[in-house]
Amino acid sequence: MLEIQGIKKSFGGVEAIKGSNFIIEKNKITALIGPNGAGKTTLFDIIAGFTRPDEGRVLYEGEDITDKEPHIIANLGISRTFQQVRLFKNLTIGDHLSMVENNGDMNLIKNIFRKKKVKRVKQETYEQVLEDFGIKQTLETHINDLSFGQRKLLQIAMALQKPHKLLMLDEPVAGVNKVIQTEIENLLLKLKEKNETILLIDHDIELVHRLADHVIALDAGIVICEGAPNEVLKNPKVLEAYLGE
Amino acid sequence: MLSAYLIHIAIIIVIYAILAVSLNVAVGYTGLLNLGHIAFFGIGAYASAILTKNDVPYTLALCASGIMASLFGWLLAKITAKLKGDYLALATLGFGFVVYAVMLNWTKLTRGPLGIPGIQKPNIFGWQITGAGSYLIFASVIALFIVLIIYRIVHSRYGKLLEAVRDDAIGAQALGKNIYHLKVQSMMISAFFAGIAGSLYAHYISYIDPSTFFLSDIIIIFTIVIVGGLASLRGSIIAAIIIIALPELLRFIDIPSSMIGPMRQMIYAVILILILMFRPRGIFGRIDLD
Repeated sequence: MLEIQGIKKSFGGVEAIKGSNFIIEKNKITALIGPNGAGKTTLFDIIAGFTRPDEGRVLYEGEDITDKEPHIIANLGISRTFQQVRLFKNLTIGDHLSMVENNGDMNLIKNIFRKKKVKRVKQETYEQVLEDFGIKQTLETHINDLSFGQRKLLQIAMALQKPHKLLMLDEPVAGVNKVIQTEIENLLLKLKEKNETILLIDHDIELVHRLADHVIALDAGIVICEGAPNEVLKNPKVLEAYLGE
Repeated sequence: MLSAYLIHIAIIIVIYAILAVSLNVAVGYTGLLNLGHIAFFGIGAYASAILTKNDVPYTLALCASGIMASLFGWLLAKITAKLKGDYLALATLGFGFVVYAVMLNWTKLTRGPLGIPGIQKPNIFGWQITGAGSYLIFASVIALFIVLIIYRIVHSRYGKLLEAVRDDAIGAQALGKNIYHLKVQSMMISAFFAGIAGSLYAHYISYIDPSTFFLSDIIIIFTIVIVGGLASLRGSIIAAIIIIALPELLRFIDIPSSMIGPMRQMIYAVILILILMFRPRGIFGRIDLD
């Protein structure tokens, strides 16, 4: 589904990615692991179009998307979350869920004459989303009134609600309490059962072990090892990268 | 005599309310710190004055003033597409200087510092507006229409997207929204209505020169927006009344006329400082100044 070919990226004099190659297969959960500064988030940003690589290509369903704008890539079906939650602090939960759809909201003229009221059916759908994700708030609640965990859940809910073929989750359980961590994990397990294609970054090795079908380990901008979770997580190079042994 | 004076103040309030509401679309709703808004006001005024001087009907000139300002809004947004925050503010300030310099130096078109005198009063499909009272009605109807359109825009899903761009542009892009498109459109909408305000001003005062559109005037418009509150149309309208009417009290105090101008500027500065200290969101603002 997604192919990374010879990606290199430097920031100033620092080489963040030093020529990475790997493939993300359809209907599988692939985990990208590595210590801090390994280049995981940079790779995420390159795939999603937020960062341009110095060299190399990103192929998505055979199409070169390396130089495409982030909104075009998102509309091609690559849906992502961020490590630092990126929501709109002055808007409500309902505004966020409505924005996820391609509902003609970019059409200025149409919007001037459109009736303001959200259809009851839509509202019920959005309320169902909140229930499914365990967000015990109303659609009118402002983002500023949500806890960090609830924001993280909403971000995942939005990424899932957006029509997508590939879901990219950047540290979905980082910084949340145990209860929400379990909720997110259960959700990811359900997605695994549904054969969703997911690219996941996480530091929680146990979680990666339980969820991933395939693991790619990065260190200092290069792929040091990849394969089944059992093999990769026991690989001496991976242990050395993580533990410095 | 007093009623003529009050009508004059009311017309100026209406024009500044349009300027503030339109600036709020870019600054308050989209987060584009545009310090060149006064240039759109000037472009609209000159476009309308020059066209009507060349026998173009007023209604067409009024529309053209908005379109012309909007085209410059498009240009400014395209040039500054990758800029944000302080850098965008500086670039738009520079745009304001360039437009001012053009008004001052393109003498064949604008008559430079001499300005354009004798701009005729509007004639709307045979209805000749002559008195200040009828001009107030005319300007108020236009202002009402503008506020209604902007209200519809900012309270629609499209308006929510503008707010999303303001709050987190990267987050909006990740949802598949073309933020460059939204920023350009927002600037064009903002400029369009500032251009219309320019036309209303030119045909009311009947004389324009570049000094009216110098950058110092952006302080008044920004003060109105900040006092009223970012992303609040109601706030911009009420603040326009307060900010324009309050310094008029100076006329009734026994001070030399040469002092009135500087004191007016001082009042704006004091109001701005007080609001920023005690009510940073403004009277009706919903969002914080970042």
